[in-house]
Amino acid sequence: MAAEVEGAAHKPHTSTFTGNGLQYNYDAELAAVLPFNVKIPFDNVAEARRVEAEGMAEQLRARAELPKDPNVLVQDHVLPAAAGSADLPIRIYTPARRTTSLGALVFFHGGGYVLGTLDNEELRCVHYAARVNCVVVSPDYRLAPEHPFPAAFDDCYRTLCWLTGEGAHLGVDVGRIAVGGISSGGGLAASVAQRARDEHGPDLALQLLLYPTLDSRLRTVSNARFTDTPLWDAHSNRAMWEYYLAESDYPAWYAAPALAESFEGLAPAMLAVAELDPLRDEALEYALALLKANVSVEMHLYAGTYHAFDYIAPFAQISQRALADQVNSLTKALRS
Amino acid sequence: MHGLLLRLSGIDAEAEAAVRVIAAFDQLVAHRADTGALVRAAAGLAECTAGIHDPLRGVFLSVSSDGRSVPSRVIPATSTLAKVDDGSGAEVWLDRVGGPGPLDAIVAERMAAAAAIILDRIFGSASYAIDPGALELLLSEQVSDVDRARCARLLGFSEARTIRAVAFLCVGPQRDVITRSLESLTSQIRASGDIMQLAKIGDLFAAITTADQIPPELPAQIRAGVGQKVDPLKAPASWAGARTALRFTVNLPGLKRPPLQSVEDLGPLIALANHPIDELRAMDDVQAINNVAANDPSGEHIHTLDAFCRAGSLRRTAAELYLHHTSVAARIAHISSALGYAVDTPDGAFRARIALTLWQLSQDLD
Repeated sequence: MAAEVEGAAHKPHTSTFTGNGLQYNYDAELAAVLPFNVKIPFDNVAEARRVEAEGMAEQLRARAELPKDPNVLVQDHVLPAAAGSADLPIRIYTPARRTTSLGALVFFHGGGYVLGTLDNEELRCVHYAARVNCVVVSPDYRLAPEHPFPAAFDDCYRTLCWLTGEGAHLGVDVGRIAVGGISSGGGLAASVAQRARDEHGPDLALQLLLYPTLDSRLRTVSNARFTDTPLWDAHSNRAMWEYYLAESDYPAWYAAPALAESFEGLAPAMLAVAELDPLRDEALEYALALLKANVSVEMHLYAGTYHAFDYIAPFAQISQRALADQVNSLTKALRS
Repeated sequence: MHGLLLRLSGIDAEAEAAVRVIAAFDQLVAHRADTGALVRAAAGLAECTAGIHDPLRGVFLSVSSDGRSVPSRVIPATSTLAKVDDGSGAEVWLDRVGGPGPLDAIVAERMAAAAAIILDRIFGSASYAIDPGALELLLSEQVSDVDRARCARLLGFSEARTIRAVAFLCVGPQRDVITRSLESLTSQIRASGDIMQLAKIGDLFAAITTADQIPPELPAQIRAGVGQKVDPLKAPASWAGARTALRFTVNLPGLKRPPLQSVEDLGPLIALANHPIDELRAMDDVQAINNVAANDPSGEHIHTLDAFCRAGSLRRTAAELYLHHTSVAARIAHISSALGYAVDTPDGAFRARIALTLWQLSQDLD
């Protein structure tokens, strides 16, 4: 039996693991990290950011001890303020040795539209760049609640447009571009794919949607059931939409892509879905909506997993499998 | 790992870290981890290389902190090791660049405790870690050297190390108790770093071990014959020797023999065991001993004869049996007349001793 973690009372947000972990049939390796999982108090943005920043600082100290992947160049860049938008920092990952022009992926980090920086998904982006042999561009999009919809959505679409315009200078074949993201980043990728279709933007090779936030209606069985799952639960899900949603001139489905009136003509999709995640059913429904609209879908549902498991426990076999699925899918989509 | 997980090295209070470590390995066991999951989780949480080695079950796995297998087949000398406490000789380790961290010992210890449960769950009890069929094949004369070599490897035996076969016979009613005591003997031998594999073959328990000696204090109701030391590929010869030696441990009324007999200690007596049992039973001298025994349910005449043959004189026999030497002389005279030859001469004593041994060898094992 797992022991409750004593002595953490004076640090109220450093521990979430108080149950015995047996209420769900977790994958064993994913269960093993739960006693070390830091609970993000999503109902308190300032505290949530403090806790996440603390953890990330420790993580960056750990990364600094590791050798950098010599096969990938990592550069920071800023898209200067334009009409109605602020400076937009971006991070560009480029394979160090390349002979021809490459495909590219625009990748959006997660964090419920409220948290997260370019550092969150740096390891994943480096992995993609090295294994897929593609350029990866990731924007430090603006966060809610200070900047609700459509700030992040605009920043993400802007990054895609910038890459389409400037890609040739980076050695990118702008005919081979994918969008992708994890969690809220996955929701942003799905919205960006819709807008690219609607505005006759770039013809996307793939939308890579990892455990995406897609539906603000909160009416699925998985959302009702998973009220105490690690990393993401129905409570954080509800709080997220309250932070993010706002009136705008855009159609509502650009904020919550499941609300779209039509799924016709969208980019082919790769969906990764975690079984024990309130977001599970909206991803399955989205996949079905795409298929019904004749959009090609590759979907993986990983049994025994919780939200963003490959982010929190990349060493686990099932995470390695999920990451390999992502690399395979991107490789196939971005092939010349 | 990343910002949503506490780093083990980043937890200030050792007690708090220990509680989390214990909980993590409890989770692995509760969620039915296999050995790969155990080692990956240890490596991931400890942020260093972790490994497990179980020579008996043929498990060797080493992974780095990113969960990927390390091809090396050696346990680095700088590792923090912990023994898996199931008598299997298995061990787990953490290996950290720059030397052990302050919590490595407790991580390795909890990992070893989880490993004992996981190995047992996957492979079965340490005493029966392997398919008994593999042991039977290794002991069989009917298989090719190639197959025998494969079985030997499967069972953890290498050509570099000689082995002995041991034949165990359980006598008496409580066989399940005896089976457990054999398992504990196996664990005892493994704990000293030797390999021992045990399987039931017919009425016997067969063991192959790298141990040079079997502890002579066998559990009650167990008798054992120990085969000669051989290369693993010659296991059938050692097994034949073990079964032969086992026949010399048979006890009969008045004839007590030690429960453990090594074939190598039998010397030329081994030749006596080469005769078919039917031929032994048909021999006049064996039948004569049989007749004496049939009229001697307490075994006192057989016991006197055996003692006399070994001691070589009435006086020494009397001292051994706490009898007056005239009483011994009377019994020997009686036995001599029953056998049809004078036992109290050197040749007669020798003949009677051979006859007693052949009589013992003519018995069923239990």
